[in-house]
Amino acid sequence: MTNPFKKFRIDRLFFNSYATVLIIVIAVTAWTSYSNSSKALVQTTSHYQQQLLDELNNEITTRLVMIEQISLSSSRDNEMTHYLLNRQDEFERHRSRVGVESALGNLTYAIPLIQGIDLYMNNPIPSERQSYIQFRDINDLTRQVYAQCLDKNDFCWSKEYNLSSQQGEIPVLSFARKIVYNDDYLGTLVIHIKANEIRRLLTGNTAGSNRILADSEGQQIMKIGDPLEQNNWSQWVDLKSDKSGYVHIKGTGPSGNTLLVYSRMDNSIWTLIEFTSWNEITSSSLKLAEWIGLIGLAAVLLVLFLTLLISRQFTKPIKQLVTAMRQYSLGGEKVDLPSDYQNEFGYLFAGYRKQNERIDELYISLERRHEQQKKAEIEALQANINPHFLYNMLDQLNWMAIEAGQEELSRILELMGRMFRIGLSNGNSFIKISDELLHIQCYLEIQQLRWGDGLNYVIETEPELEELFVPKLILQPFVENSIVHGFNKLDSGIISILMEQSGNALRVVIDDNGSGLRQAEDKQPRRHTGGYGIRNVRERIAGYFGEPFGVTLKEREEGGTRVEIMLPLLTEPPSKADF
Amino acid sequence: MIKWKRSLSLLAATALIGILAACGGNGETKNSADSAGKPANNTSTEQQAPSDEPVKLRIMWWGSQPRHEATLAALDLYTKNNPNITFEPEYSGMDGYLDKLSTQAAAKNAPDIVQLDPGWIPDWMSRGQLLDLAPEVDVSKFDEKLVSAGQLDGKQYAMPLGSVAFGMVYDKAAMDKLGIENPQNGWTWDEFFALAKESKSKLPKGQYFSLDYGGNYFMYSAYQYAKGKGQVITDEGHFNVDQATFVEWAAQFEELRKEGLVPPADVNASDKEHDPQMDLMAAGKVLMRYSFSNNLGTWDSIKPGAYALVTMPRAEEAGGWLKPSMFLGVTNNSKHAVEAKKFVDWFVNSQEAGDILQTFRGLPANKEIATALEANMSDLDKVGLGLLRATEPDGQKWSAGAGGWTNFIDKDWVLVRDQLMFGKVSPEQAFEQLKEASQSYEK
Repeated sequence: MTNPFKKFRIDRLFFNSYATVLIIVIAVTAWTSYSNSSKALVQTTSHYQQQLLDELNNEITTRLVMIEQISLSSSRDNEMTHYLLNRQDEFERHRSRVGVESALGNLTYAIPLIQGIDLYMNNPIPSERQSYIQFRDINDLTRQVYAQCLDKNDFCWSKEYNLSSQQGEIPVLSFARKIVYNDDYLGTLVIHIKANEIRRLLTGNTAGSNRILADSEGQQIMKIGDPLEQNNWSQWVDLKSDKSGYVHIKGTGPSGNTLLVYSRMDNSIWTLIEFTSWNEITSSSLKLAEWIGLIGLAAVLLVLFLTLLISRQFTKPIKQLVTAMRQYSLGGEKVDLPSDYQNEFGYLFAGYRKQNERIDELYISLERRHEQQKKAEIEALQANINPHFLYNMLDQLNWMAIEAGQEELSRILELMGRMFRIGLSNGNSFIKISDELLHIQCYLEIQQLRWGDGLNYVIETEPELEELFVPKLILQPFVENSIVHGFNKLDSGIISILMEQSGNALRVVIDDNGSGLRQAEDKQPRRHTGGYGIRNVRERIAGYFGEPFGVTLKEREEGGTRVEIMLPLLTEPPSKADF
Repeated sequence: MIKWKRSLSLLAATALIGILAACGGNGETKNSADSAGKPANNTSTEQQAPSDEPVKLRIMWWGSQPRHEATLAALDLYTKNNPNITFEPEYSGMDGYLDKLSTQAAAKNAPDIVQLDPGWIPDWMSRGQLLDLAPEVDVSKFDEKLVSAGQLDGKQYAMPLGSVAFGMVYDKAAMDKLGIENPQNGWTWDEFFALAKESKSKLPKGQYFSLDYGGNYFMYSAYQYAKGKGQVITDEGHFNVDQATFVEWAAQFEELRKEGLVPPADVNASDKEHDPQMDLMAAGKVLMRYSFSNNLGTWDSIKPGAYALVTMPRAEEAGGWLKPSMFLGVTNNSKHAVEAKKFVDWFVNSQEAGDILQTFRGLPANKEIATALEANMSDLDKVGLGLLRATEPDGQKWSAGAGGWTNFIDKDWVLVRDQLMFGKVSPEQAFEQLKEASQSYEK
């Protein structure tokens, strides 16, 4: 896989990586804050709920124990047992009924929690229907809610049910107790307490909670709110322990997860259970997370916007540079790069501009050189127009001269042919110095044939230099110049050609004892061919090698002209590609 | 360049502040709303009766089913008119009512508004358990005789709810069926006992002429009044039972008991007035019992059309009297005294309340409402009104009596009543016992 940082556009990379990092940071923050705070919330919630439930349990237990105690003391009251024993005459019975009714009545009136009291007995004298104290037939007991639990116990609490009374159906809890005297079962005293009072206690100050009051058997006595069904929670509460606790029930139904907190106390037979929807507990931390998320989102948007701006600002110069580079063409229209950057971008722009300028300069110089080279080549080609044809013609002319007995002409033609051959040299631009020297010797011999004995020449060189290469035909124009112009008015002349190694360069010196440069200038203009030849040599050397190589002409002090040619030491001809 | 940078950081800062402000926004507005709301409420609670603060008034009365229903309806109407006022009614029969109220009062937990028997009023006023009803309650439309019973030292502590006549109710349908002559207004005690004896042959087994009133405080009071011997307990707070009259009375009932014209003691003791099953007259076991003029409706609701009213038998003087049926007062531990008094004013003075409450507490003591009710009264109420009118001309002057004798009447007298009823004491012994018991109540 390729490194995306090498693949994608820099502004997108910049923007996307920045945004990704930010979003990850914010998501992680929101999630950790949610999970941590909800964990903490569940812990504190269950802790405080448990404390609260313990308190409520205490309070409810206090009330209910009071009722139990009242029931106990009433059931052991002498008047009560005597009345129930029914060993009196009618009047006594009537009077003790009045006493019992009044005693029970006073309990009811004094303790607002008590809704009313029923006394189940044999042959009761019924009370007024509206009365809080009712004397009922013991045979009716079996029909009552609390009858069942009395089978096994001497006393017990009923679960919540509606007691019909003068004031309508009133929800009550009933505490029933068997009254036993000397092992005789006399009746049952049932104290009804207002369930709403207990409900109020169970509710406490927290409206909307879901709680259950359960008895020692774990049976639900009363519920508020919308708690779970009995069989859904009973497995979670340890009825044998006197310790409070809490359980996290993983819900399957629509209610979802539930926190179950229960309170059991060693001095109480009651279990208080509170159910709290998991969502409810964690809602505030969810809210927190939502807020963080929202803030994060806003921050992300803001930061993305800023990032976009920043990345634009960062990548704009790069883009400009890229555009400039893409649109760059030689000599074409230049893209303007901003000049107000003072930082790295500024250096980049300046560097790019400078480089462009350099390139332009180089290109111009290259072009110039190329032109010169081209020109030199063309000139070389021009100089070699149909050399083979000329060469063949010369051969034919030579044969004609031999046939005509013109020995001298034949010789000239032969020398010329040799010169041509060297001048052609298979189209190579560079030839060995030995060939170059052969070429100039041919030329000089021809001139000697013309001049007779007046023309002499000396060639000094060293054998190891003869293997070096030089651009071809660089000596002839100067020698020709010396003969044509230098010796113009003279009968004799000496030309001396010296080749030597001078440092890293090859130094060629062509001396003549002619009339020198000044005279040549004063008199008739130079012959076209001669001037052309020298310029050709100059340009070729400049074109091939440039500085410090080249040609200098100067007057000799003893008269005549000195031509000094500086060339590199070439052990083999340079390849064409070099030029 | 520099300028650009500055504007960028400014932009970032503004955006951040914006976000923070948006977060904090909710909480702050909530707080300010709370703080703005609370002081306003507090001041109104402290300074004046707030017009919309929710108030729950506890009210307690006794009575029978029709009275309960009418009263509950009136409470509903009041809540409808004053949505901030709700009620916690406690209502029952007469049995245990005073015990309950006294217990609650002792615990400073009495209801705000209580219905009181005229006989208890002197005690309650003198003990300072009721609040002065002025200025909320208007007394201008009330019969002076009735309203004065709720006054002490020029202050009005309780409002009379109605006036009733003390008379008798009889099972007309049963008497007609048995061929027993109907009693007529203005009949005498002699006629009462004669009619009882006359009916003996006509009564089937288990049916009796009247309840056993041999030891009944109210009936004996009526008898002593009729005999011209005055109050049983004088307004000055003295025991004033005339021995001869009492013995005569008790002996006559002893005879009826022996004759089987009144129920045996255990049956008689099981009677619970107005209880559909346990009221002996309603159960068809007795033909006659005492009644107040406003109670006919209750019996009629048990056995419609069967019952009729007749004046209390007389002798030298009239036997019956007119009396305020009951009073309504505001207890001194009420936390919402102003609202409670306003309700009392509405309860006794407004026509709409009068229309609902009808005559279940007697003919309203408010004369305007009484007149309005009389204009379109039901036949039943007209019968009650008839007894009122028949008793009015020469009826005994009712008095709330002296304070401090309530227990004597409710406990000591009741014990003697039961002893008489069960034949435990002779009439003479009964009198002695009463006299002895009275010693501790004498002023």
